[in-house]
Amino acid sequence: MFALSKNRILVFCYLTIFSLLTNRAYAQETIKVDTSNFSYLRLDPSNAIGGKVSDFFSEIEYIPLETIKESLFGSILRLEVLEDRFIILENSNHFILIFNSSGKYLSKVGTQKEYLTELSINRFTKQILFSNDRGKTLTVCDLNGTVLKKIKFEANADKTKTTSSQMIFLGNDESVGSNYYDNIEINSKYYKPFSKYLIHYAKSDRTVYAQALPYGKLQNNLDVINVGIGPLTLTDIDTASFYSKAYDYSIYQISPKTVKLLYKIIFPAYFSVPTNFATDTTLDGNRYQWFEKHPDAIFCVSNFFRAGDNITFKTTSWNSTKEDDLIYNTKSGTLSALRHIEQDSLSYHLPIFDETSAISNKNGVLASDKDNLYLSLSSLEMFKFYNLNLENKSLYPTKLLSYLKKGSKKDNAVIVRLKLKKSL
Amino acid sequence: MSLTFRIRVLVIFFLLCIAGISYGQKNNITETGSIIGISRDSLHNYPLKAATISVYNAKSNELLSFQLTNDLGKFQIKNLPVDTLLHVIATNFGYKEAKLKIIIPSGKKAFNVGVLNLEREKWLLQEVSIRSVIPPVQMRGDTLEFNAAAFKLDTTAVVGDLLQKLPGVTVWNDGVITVNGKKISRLLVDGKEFFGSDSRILLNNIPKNSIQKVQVYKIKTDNDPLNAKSEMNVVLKAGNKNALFGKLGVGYATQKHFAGDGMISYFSPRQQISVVSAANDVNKTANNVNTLMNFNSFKGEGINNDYHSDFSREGFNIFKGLGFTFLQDFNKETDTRKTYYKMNNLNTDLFYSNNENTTNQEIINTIALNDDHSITQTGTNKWQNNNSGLRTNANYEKRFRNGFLYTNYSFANQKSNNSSKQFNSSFNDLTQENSKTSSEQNGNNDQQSFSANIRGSVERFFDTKRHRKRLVNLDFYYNFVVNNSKQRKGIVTNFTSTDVSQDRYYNRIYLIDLKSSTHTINTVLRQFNGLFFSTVPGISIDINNILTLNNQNGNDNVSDMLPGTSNLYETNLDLTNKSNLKILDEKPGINIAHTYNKSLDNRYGTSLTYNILLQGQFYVQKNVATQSIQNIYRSNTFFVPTARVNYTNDQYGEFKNELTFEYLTSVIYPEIWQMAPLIDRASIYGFTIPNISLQPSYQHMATLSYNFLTQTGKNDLNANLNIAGGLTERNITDSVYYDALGRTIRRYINGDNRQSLILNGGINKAFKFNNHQLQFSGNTKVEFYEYNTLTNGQDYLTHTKIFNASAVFNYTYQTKWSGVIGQYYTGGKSQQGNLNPLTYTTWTTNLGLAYALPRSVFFNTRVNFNKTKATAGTPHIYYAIWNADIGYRFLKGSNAEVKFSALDLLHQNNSVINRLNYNNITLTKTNVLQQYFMLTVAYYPRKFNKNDK
Repeated sequence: MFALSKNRILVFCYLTIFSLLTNRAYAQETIKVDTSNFSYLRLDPSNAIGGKVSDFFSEIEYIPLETIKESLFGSILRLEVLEDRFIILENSNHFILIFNSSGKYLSKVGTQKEYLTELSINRFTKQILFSNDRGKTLTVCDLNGTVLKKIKFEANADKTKTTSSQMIFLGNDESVGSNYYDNIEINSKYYKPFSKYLIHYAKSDRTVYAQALPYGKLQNNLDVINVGIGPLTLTDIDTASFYSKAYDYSIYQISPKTVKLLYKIIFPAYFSVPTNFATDTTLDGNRYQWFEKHPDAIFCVSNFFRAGDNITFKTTSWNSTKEDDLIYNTKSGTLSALRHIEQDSLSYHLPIFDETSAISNKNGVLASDKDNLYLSLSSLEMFKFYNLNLENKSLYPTKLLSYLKKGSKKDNAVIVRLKLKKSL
Repeated sequence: MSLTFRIRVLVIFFLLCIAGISYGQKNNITETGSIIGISRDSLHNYPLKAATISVYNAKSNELLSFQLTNDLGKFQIKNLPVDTLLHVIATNFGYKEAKLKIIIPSGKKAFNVGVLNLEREKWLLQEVSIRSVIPPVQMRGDTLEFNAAAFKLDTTAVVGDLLQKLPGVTVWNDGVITVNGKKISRLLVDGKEFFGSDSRILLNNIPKNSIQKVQVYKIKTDNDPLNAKSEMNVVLKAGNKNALFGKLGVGYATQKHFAGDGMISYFSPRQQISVVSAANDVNKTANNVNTLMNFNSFKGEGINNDYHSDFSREGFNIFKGLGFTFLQDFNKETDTRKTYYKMNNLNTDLFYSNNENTTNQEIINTIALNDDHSITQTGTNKWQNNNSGLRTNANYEKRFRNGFLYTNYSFANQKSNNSSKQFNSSFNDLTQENSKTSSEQNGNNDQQSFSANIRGSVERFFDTKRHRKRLVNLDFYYNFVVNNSKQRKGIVTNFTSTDVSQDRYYNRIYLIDLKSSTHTINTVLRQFNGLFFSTVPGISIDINNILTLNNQNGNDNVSDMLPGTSNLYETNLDLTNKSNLKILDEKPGINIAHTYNKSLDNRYGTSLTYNILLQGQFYVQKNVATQSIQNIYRSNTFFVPTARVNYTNDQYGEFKNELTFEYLTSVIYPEIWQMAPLIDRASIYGFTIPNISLQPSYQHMATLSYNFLTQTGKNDLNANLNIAGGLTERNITDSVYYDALGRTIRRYINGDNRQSLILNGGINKAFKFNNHQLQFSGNTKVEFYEYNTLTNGQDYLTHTKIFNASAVFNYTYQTKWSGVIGQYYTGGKSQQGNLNPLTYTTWTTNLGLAYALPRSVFFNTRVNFNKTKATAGTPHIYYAIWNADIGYRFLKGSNAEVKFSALDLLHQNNSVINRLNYNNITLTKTNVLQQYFMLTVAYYPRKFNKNDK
């Protein structure tokens, strides 16, 4: 994996990472894809509308994350919301920090050396899982950051096991992970039975027992540029995950026994890649350059979440636009852009989207839990708007007021919980 | 007229001018009001951030003010006239403009214009849409664009004038541009550098009217969200991509002085070509094409002394210069942000210059001896030199995705003819002995040098096709230099003294040939550890090697005229010599660096780097010569480590500071002419005798430097402080023996340790308010040296102190007025043991004022007051140099100019220079350029609307 930079976006170009295996072979179940019932979503981001905060949300809560020496962090790379906890993977030092639901700091996991880049949560066992040594060790913590166990794996040497530690749990001992396109062939020592599939299902010990979404030879060298959160994201159903497939703008729902195609998003031609983009082998190794020449083409749909009839997601192209973080109401067909939502009295005239932060484009919606969307705002952004709106004399809740009075633009980020209205 | 009276007159003159500027300002003050409002996208229902709100006087259509809307879409524009019909126009990229007509009622301070609704254009038509009103500034994505047409300047204004008008932009006196306090890393025209990296050629030549817009954009890799590193790109209008500009100027002056300049330059998207020349006898010289181009700039002259006669230059000088430069750009990239990374340029230039110099000089040299006695040497020298040089250079640079390649070729030919006559006398106040010398010298030199080098680098990268890392991080450099020189010289010297037995006469001819070739190979294998070991974050181990091989063949033929003949010479066997010198200099090293970065997004980025270079040096000198004393073989091995600690603290949007400590070691190897010179007694007053046992000196140098700059974007401040301490072991110093007749016999010896301490600091601050800009620059440097020397066998500890300080204010008002006030001080003191110290001080006050009305009259005046004094007891020397120009620009586009210049109005220029050495101080008086009055006419051909192909 290496990082590239364009339009205030850190682009992660995930390239195939696979591990050493033995030559033993195992039979694993292949889950078929159900394409019988999906919807086409025809969306033109350039015409996404705006409005007031109160037009879209019924509740809003700003939760400043406590700033003390131990809890000081950069910005939020990933956020998991679980019961009364905010668990974050932060971007500057790559720690995992745990705050309670009112923003009080509880504990920190990881060290400067460990440089954590992944964060998985098992909602069923209420555990935090991460790996920082290319899958050789899996550390399991409780929600207070106490390390429960460290599991050593010989995953590289075992053809049944995955080294991927970025997992979404669909049950106590059931998780789903994603693979990248790879040109490893069956006679390679790196080959595993699930190598040619985009999705694998694994137990807690990372033994893969099923796989889905196979790809053919033409896609062996398909280079994928991923940004934001994804391609796997949590759904509003505990036992399912969304999967956003590269370049064809398809969204799948991954469940333990089924993989369902839910949506096929169709963007205007100007914003889309050609239909054969993922199978045209002449583009292999050159897709990055292709996007440089077609800077408006969307190369990634990420941060895909659902709250009732609303779906939210991020589109990324080389050129930055104000219409990249979108909310789409599947009933009314209304497409709105988060950046165009204007602060009003419901939001105490404070913004809901960070436009100043150096890495704001990477964020967008960080998490969702059935009704609520969670975003983060840097204190730099909060205080900029607080000072712009001094004449409004908003009646801030006590905690927020305390933060605004005593804090500074150098404080920790603030989490914004937004409860979406059912009909937009 | 006394000097103080003149000073008073000048000061009053300046004060009156400044008062005039202030008065002109005060007249404009009338009752004003402000407007507030908000801009929105009505159809899509959101406020428009960074939309442009411009306010025009409806009657005159004059742009009164403008602003970008804030993050809430709101705006507040102040200082607008009341009871006047105004047009308020909102524009935003991709939208149709929205207009309002308003009158701010008298007495109403804040007038709410409400919501300005903008309607979106069809996005595919955005690029070609035609607007009735051009917004002065707009955001296009993350690029800030200033539209040149919206800034009303005279038709003769150039890019520099436009930038002065742009909010947040500061053009510094040295051509540096800052936007909100942050230095613009590159200034480009349509994505390319303009005739090299000297931005002044662009700033002073391209007319404002051929510019479509000026773009400022951030470099994406910068983490600072508030003040990222930025570039500036000047976009030319569609019909102005190909252009011609130049100058033809001639001037004639009293005392038959003359000056002529000429330039013709052409540029297109692919080529940049310039032919430029100058000839004068008024000390306007140049040693490269860029300086000549600056001479010939459309808006070149002002208070900046770079473009005026150098009155400190010694002698009478005639300068002729001719330059040619050509650039072919093969790069097809159109995105200005990527052009640097895809550079593909061929660049050539040629420079010819000829300098004729005639100098008459009077010298008084006081040499402090033991017991408060001294030798005083006086002399008159006259010489004529003619130096001509031809230099050509070509380079090709290409950047790749994973590296770059740069090749350079250069050839230079330098020829000189010189003749001189010298009369010197020496008086020893202890022995009361004196001596006299008269000598004549004629000679010529012909020197050719050729060099070619290639350098480049490759970067290790991840191959996305093969899924593995490829290449290594490698920098390489190879340089090959050949130098050939031929010197022909004849001298006739007659030495007479009170001791007639010491009288000497020499008539000697020297034919000296030297051929030298040098190969240098430098390689750095960076992050070597990453190839074999799993990398530890922040640790980098580099393997360095520098190998230099030098081969020199010398052939000296010296002959003396046979006594009693007029043209019969015999070979001087003591000085005739053939030699071959080979030097091998090999420096292998391992560089270990550890970087510790700490940053918090949106708040700060700090970095601490430790660096240690473990480096050895193997140095071999082998000299084989027919003069046996010069058969030398030396081989030395030294450990020459360096260490560096650097700490940077970038508090985003507030300040950035940097602290660096550096420890360096190096070795100074004695050269053949120091160890085994051939004694030439024809150099009556100074020759060197051998010391074959002279050893290399070993230098330690420790420096601590601190830099600070503000990043708040208002009234920029930057400051720096440096402290450097040095210790030289076995310092190569002089052992000098002065005989009673004032003759000097020098021998280089290894003395005790030499110590030095140098402190310097500087501060720059700019204030910008409305149309006024004030820049302050202050610098100071203090130097202390302590070392021992031997004079007539007596060992002295010598202390030398040198102090320099300057404070300069530059002021500009609009594009019309500019002024400078500067104060400079330099002083030195050297004391050998307990002998009387030698001292000098020089004060210089510099004032300048320039005024230019477009297409009309301009004038500028500059005055330097100098006060200098050497060694206690001698009187102060005062002189002032006052210059002034008055001129008139006419024709459409101000293409023609008539100028009258008065130089050295007070007729006081007399080059008096003090040079301080450890035990002697030399006062020289030289003939210099003095008062003249010149009339100049110039024509500036400018064709900026050539049809583009």
